[in-house]
Amino acid sequence: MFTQKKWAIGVCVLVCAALIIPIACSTPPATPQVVVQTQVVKQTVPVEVTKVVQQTVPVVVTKVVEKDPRVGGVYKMAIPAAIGSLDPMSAAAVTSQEVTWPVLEMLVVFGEDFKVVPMLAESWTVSTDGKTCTLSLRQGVKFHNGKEMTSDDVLASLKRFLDVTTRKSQFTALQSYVAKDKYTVVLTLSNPDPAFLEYLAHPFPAAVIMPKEVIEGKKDIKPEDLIGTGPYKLAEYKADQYVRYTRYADYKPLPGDKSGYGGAKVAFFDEVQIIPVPDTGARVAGLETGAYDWAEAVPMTEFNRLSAVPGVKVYQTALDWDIVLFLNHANKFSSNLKFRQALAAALDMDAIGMSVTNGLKQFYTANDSLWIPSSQFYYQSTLSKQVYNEKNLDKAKQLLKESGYNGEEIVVATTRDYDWLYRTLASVTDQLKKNLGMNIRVDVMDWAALNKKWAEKDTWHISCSGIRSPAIFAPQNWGLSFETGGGISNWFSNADMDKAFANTRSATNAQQRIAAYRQVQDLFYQTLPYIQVVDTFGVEAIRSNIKGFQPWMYNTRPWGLWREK
Amino acid sequence: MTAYVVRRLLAFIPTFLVVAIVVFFMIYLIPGDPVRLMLGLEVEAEAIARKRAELGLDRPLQERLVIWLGHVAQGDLGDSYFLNQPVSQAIVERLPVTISLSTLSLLIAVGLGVSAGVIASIKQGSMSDWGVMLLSLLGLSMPTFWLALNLILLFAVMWQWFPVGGYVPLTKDPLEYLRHLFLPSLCLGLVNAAVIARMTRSSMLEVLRSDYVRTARAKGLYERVVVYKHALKNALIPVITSIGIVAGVLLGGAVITETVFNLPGVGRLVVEAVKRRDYLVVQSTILVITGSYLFVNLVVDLIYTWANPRIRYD
Repeated sequence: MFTQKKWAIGVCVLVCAALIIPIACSTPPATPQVVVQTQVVKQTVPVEVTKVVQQTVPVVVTKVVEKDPRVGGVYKMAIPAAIGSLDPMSAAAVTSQEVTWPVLEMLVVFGEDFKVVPMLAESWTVSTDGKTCTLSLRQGVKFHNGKEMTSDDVLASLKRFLDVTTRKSQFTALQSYVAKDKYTVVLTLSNPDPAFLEYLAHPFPAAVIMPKEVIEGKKDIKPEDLIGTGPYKLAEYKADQYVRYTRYADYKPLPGDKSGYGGAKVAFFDEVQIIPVPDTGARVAGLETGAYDWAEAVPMTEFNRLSAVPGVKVYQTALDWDIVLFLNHANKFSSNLKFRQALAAALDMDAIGMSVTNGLKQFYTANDSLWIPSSQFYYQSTLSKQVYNEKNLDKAKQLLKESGYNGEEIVVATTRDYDWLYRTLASVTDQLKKNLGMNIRVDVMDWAALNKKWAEKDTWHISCSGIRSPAIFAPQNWGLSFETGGGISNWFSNADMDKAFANTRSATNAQQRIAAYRQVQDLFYQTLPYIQVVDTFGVEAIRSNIKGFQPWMYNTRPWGLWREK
Repeated sequence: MTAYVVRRLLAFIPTFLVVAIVVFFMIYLIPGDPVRLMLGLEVEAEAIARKRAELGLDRPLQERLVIWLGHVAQGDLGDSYFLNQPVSQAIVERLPVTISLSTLSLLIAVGLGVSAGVIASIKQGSMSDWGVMLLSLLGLSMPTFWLALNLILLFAVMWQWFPVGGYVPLTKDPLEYLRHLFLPSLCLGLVNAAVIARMTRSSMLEVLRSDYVRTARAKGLYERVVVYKHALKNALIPVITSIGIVAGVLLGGAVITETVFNLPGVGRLVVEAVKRRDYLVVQSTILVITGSYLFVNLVVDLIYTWANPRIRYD
């Protein structure tokens, strides 16, 4: 029998063991050994069609070859953020969109190579003057309520989208949209716009197609309104807890393979769940135990450790954030070009990159282009190479002097809600203080307050944000940043830049568009509306018994996946 | 007694009103804009203005207060900006989680805390006393999130006895309900047991030194009877007070524990709402939390009369 003394000692030993064992038994970091068998195949996908004839060009895509898909089971995806608005037509936030991806579909979407591919429109033609786009709809596609999708549904959906979207300016050229017949919709533009199909395919916010009787005159979208044509049906929505989907038996996938948002979207799982798990540790632990099959936004510092965990496959995403410094063009110093040039000349982007990624060099790249290297708009020029990451302190000090800056207080507005943002501005502040002797005050606030702060003219000079879609598939969205009156232009205004964006819209072919966007980038480095920092890569992980997985920019795509026996 | 309860219930009304007004101004004084979070970064300025008008956020603050109080008086808490559901529904859905977590945590905390406190007091200066004091000090100083993550690592990741998080309703699967709530309840229970144990010990020590306990012992009563029948009941008043405080805090939502264990409770609801400036959810949830505090206080006051019959409210 235990004496009291032994009992007390025993309790102490147990408690100490409970505290020490988890730490002692945790797996030490190991060298990543992620092996994904890939095969490079040539595929033919339809792309932007000019004139009356539809064309195809060969593109190279990386395809994971796996066999014997298995039907059944449940697939659980853990996402970091709480689910916000469920209205994909009005909300640009990724979380609002990704919960609707299994359910709702668009006329055209972005494929794996970020080019526009068909989805509910099986093909399209553009008239020789570039003003008329005729979309032929797929026949026999049924909504989850059993009704066939026709041009009436497309018109009703387009009408609501145009009423509520937060990127109306992209559709100002759209004069009319009418149904030619049950399966044909004709869009007429006031002037040709080669990016028009990209506007239609852009997922944030998305021009999704929903039944006319559901969407017509609808002010707010409720969970029960989410009726689409996607491979999964919405079964249950529990705010802040989970969204549950079930396989849509009548779904008819496109032929071929899945590609980005497009291609064949075959539902193998009986049920799919998207679960918001805000705590990073819990999200990663859940993946390790198999409670979740896929986890988004895994910390970079977990990459090596997770790579060695049996049953887990960890990978790097193509782009997490194109980090930029916001500069307030309504405030005295940051509105001064010399001042902005001084900042650009002084900053060491690699030092910032190392700070943001905790010294893990593989998770950032110092990219002077406004676009990622795989984009058709990717462009490096002599000017961009000169201005970006120059690290010329003598020049910076001279420019600062010429700007009239004389030790006045500069306000850096930041938040701790996003570690990468905080670290970026911490490194920027440190460099500017040490290297240029600037007098900097750092205002730290939460994300909501920072968003509000950006709308104030007089209270800040320098801040930071991450940009994603303009760098990947929506070059026109840079207009929101650099054009006069753009939503995140921070009061920047430059007539040449406005003209350059006008050129991107009036270009009549792909080459002209690319040239116009090169002009935008050249002007960007001449005028510095923002300061380009670094591109960072995210980390995501999936259980290795999930097959058919092909990492892409956005991976909340539960189709084409199955669980190995 | 009934008159006292009615008086206390009536006193709730001005308390609610004061809390409602204070919370309203506090939440609107924090800078932030739900519309910008709702719509995302890459949006046109016109769209932001349109949405603000649609949500009534362009109206003067006093006007918004009057409208909200008017709706609350009619039982309408409004709609959440982000949750796609009425605020009342959001709260009702999360209350069972918080009540379950609070109840189980409280059972663990009271069970462990009172037992450990009594043992420590009757064996003052012994190894048992030192052990209890050491453990309770550890419990008080340990950050909840750290304990929670270690419990997950040990019991969920390494041994896989319990799930890492989530919630299963009691009505759906009672066993899974308990499995999902065990680790978070243990986490909260251990931390709060430390508070109760220390309070029980000090209160018991005071009572055990009183004259009537000495008299009871002199009468030759068994030590067990002296401790449990005569001493413990009288020592309970401060313990009940601290249990009441713990219960109130737990019912207000254990934010960190709910977040780490991914439990959709009231605490997580209010914190998420503050972060995204979901004003109506914050205002209404805090009213509900205030109500639970007031209710627990009332219950504690009534329990005093059981513990010490000399206390009367009539």
